Amino acid sequence: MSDGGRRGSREASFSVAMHNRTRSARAAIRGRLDTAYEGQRPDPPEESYLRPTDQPVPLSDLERFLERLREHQVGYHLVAGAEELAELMANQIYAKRGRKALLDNRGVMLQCRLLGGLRQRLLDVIVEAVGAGLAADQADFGITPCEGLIAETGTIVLAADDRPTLQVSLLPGRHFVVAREAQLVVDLATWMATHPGNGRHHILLSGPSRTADIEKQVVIGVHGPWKVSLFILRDGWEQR
Amino acid sequence: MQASIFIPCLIDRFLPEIGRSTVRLLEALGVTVSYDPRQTCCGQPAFNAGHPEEAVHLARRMLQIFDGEHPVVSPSGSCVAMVRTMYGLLDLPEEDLRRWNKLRANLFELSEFLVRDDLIGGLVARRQGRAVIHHSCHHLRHTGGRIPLLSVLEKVAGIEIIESPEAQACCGFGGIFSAKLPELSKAIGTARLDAMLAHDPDYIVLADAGCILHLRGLLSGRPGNAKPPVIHYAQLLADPDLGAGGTP
Amino acid sequence: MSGLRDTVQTKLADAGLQEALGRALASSNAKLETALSELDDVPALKDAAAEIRRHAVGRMWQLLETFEARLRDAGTTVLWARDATDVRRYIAEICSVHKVSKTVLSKTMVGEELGLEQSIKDAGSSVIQSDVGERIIQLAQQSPSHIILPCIHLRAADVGKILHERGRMPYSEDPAELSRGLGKSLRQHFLGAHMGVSGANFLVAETGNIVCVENEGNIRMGYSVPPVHVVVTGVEKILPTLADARLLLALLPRLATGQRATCYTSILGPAPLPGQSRYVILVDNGRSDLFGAGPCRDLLHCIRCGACLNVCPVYQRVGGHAYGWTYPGPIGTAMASMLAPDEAVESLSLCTLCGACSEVCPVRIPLDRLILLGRATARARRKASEVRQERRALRWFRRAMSGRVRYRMSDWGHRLGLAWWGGRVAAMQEKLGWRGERAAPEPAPQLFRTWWSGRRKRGDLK
Repeated sequence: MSDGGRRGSREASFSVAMHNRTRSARAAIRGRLDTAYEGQRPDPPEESYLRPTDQPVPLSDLERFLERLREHQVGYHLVAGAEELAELMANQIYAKRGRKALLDNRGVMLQCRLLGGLRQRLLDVIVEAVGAGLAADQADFGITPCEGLIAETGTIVLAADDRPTLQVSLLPGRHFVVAREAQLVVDLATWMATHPGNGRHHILLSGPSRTADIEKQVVIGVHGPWKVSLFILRDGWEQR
Repeated sequence: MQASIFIPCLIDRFLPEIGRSTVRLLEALGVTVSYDPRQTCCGQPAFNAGHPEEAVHLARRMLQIFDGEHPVVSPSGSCVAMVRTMYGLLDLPEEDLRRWNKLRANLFELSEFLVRDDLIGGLVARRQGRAVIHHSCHHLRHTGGRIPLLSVLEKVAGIEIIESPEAQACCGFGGIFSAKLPELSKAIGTARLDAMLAHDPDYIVLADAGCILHLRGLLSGRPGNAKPPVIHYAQLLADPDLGAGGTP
Repeated sequence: MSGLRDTVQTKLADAGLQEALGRALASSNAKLETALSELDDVPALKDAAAEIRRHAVGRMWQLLETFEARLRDAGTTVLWARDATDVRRYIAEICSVHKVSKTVLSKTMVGEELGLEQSIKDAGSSVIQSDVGERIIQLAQQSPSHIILPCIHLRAADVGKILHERGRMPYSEDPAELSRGLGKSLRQHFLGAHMGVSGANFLVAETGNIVCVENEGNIRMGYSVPPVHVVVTGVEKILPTLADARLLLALLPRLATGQRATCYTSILGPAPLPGQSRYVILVDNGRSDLFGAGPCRDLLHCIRCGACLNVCPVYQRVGGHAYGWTYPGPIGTAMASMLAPDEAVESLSLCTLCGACSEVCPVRIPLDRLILLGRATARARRKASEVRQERRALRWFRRAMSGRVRYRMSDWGHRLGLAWWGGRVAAMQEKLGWRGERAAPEPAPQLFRTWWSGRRKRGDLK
C-alpha cells in the first residue's frame, strides 16, 4: 500500500498496439451484433414495460426495518441526542477494549460533534478522523455516517468518494454507523428516486460480512467487519 | 359432446389400461369418444434426442390425422406438450403450420379437459387407502397440470391424497436420457421411489406413461412382494382391474 | 457417450460428493422457498425482470456505447475484448504499465471462462483468489463446480484437509474456523495488492454505474484497497437504467442464496476513485454468436443466479465437474452447443427435460427448450459414428411409426424378438439399463387399438 500512490497516479500510458487492439475489437463486436440484426435496427425502446410497485408495508417502516436488522444480525440502538450517542458508543468501545477508532467525519457526525464526544470519554483510545494518519487496517472500530436506510430489505446505504473513506467501513473488525431516523425510506426505489445518481460510489449494506461457501453453513465475518451496529438518532435529536 | 382421443405409442403398447380408463372415464361423463387407428407417435423421441428432421415426419403425420373439428384429448402431458410447444420449434411447411395452430388450441391433456367447463362436475369415484402423487414433469410444467390433477383426484371418495413438496421433482426418466445415462436415471428414480414408499401408499399416482414405466420398472426390480401399483390417475378413477371401486 | 456415462458413474459412486451436494443443495432450496415467499407477486416480478433483460440485450450495442461514453468521460479506461487473447494482452499491458506484481482476484465466471488467473500470472504477477470458495479451489488446484458456490462439491472435512496441506492452516472440520482462517490469511494479500480484479453483475448505461453483488467483502476489498482496479465483464451485463438494476436486485440474491439482499451491493460510480486507475474490459467471447443465434439470444438474459443448478435433478446428483467445462447445470447445458469446447458437447445429454430450471429462472429463459435445440445443433460437433448410430435407430423408429401396418408389424417384430432372440434382447436391455434393478416393460397382451376395435365390433360403443 505504501507505494500505491505511485502505481495508481501514474498516467496510464497504453501502447499504440493496445489502442489499436481495442479499436478493432470494438468494431468487430459491433459488426457481429449488427449482422445479427440483419440490417434492421432493433425496436426503439419501449418504456412502458411492467414495473410492479413494491408491496405495501404491513408494519410501520421503523418496526419493519428493525426486524430486518435483527434478522441480518445487525445491532442497533435508538438514541435521543448527540450526548447519548457519544456516551453509548464510548461505552461500547470501552467494553470491547477498543484501542483505535477511525471516523469518517462528515455530515451528521460533524453536527453531533462525535469526534470530540468520543475523545472526551475515551482518554486512552486513539480516535481519529480519516486523513489524520490512522490507517484503516490499524483501527479496530470504523465509524461512518450513512446516506439512507431502507425498510423493506433492512439495508443501510453507505457512500464514499475515495479509498480511505471506503476502507473505514471495511477494514476494521467492527463497524458503527450513525443514521438519522428521517433517513428511513420504505424501499430502494424510493431511495433512488430521492437520491439521483451523482457519480458517487454507493454500498448497500445488509449485514456483516459473511460466507456460506463451505457446506452452505453461514459464517459471519470473513473479509469485512464481523460486527455492524447502527445508531439511529430519533427525530428531534437536534433539540436534545 | 364429442372428443377424439390421442393414445400415444407407449400407452398403446405397454400401458393400454391407461387408454381404456381414459375412454371409460370420458364415456361415463357423457362424451362420445372417437379414435383414429392411424395414429402412432407424435415424434417426441426423435426430437428429444436432437434429431428434429426425423421428428418432422411424424409431426406432419400427426397434424394430418388430427385435423378434425372435435377437441383432441390425450392422457399424456408429455405428448401434448410436444405438440403444443415443441412443434413450434420444428421446420414445418405452411399448410402444416396452419393445422398446428388449429390443433394447438384444440388439444387437451385429459385432466385439463376434465376440469375445463367443469366437465367432471358431479362425478364420484370410490377407492380405499392412500395415494401418493408424483407430478410428471411435462404434465406439471408444460400443461400446468397440478391444479387439474388435484381437482380430478378430489372426485375420488375414500382416498387419502398425499402430495409432498418433492412430488414436483423429476423421477429421472427423461425419455432417451433413461437409456443414455441409465445409472443416473435409476439413481434419481430410486431416491424418488424411496421418498414415496416412505408414506406407505396403496397407490402411486402419476400423470404420464414414461414415468410410470420407469418407476414400475424400478419397483419391480426391488425385492419384496407388497408393492403398491404405480398407476395413471385415470386408472384411479376408472380402471376396473384395479380392484373394487372406480367410477360407478 | 461411454465417456460421459463413465464420468457420471464415478460421480454417483463418490460418497463424499453425494454427501456434500445433498447437504448444500437441500439448504439452498429451502432458503429459496422462504425468500420468494416474502415477495408479493413473484410471477409478475419475473415477467418484469425478463422484459428488462430482453430489452437490454435487444439493444445491447446502443446501451454499451452510452455506457462506454459515460465511463470514458469520467476517466475510466474502457477496453473491448473479442476473446481470451485480447484480455490476455490487456492484462499484460496493465500489469506492465502499473508495475503490478501482486493481484487479488474476486470470483468471476467470465474470468473462469477466459483463464484470467493464468493470464495474470503470465503477465508477471502473483494472483490470489479472494473469495473463500475460490481460494479453496485455487489451493486444491481444481476448478469451480457451481457458478456461485465454487466448492459445493467439497465437504468441510475435505476443505480442512486441503487448507491444512496446501494452505498451512491447522486442520479443522468447522466451516466457521476454516472460513475465518482463510479470511485472516487473505487480509495481508489485500493490503499488499497492487491490482484488484473483479467481475460485475450489472452495467448501467444511463449513469455509468457498475453493480457488484457479494457477501464476503472481497470485491469491496478489491476496489477499495489496491491502486489499480480492473473489471472484467461480459457485454451482456448491460442494463438501461439503475431502476432496472434495482428490480433485478429484488430477485438475484433471493434466487442465488435465498437472501432478500446480499450483505454488500456495491454501486460503483463511472469515475475511478482518486489516486486509482480503473479499467473496464468488456468481453464478447462468443456472446455475439449467441446474440445472432435466434432463440439462443435468450441465454444472454441470464443474470447468473445459479438457481437452475440448485433445482436440477441431474446437477444435484453429479455436481458441476461432470459437465466438463466452465458452465455446469442447465444454463451451461443450454449454452454448450454454441460455447463449450468439443469435448464437453456431450454434456447436452445431462438433462431429463424436466423443466425445473425454466420454472425457477428469474428472467424466464426457456432453458429446457434451448437444451433441446442445442442437441440438434450439437450433432455436427459430436462423434460422427455415435450420431450416425443414433440416427439409424431413430430413422428405423420413424419408419415403424409411419403407418398402421408398419406399426403393427413393428409390434409383432417386438414380440417375436422377445420370444426368439431373448438373449440378444436381454443384452441390449442390459446395455440400456432397462434390466435387473429396472425391469423392462413387457408389451401388453392386448394393444389399446386392438381393444378398441374389438369393442366396436362387439357393439359396446354407444
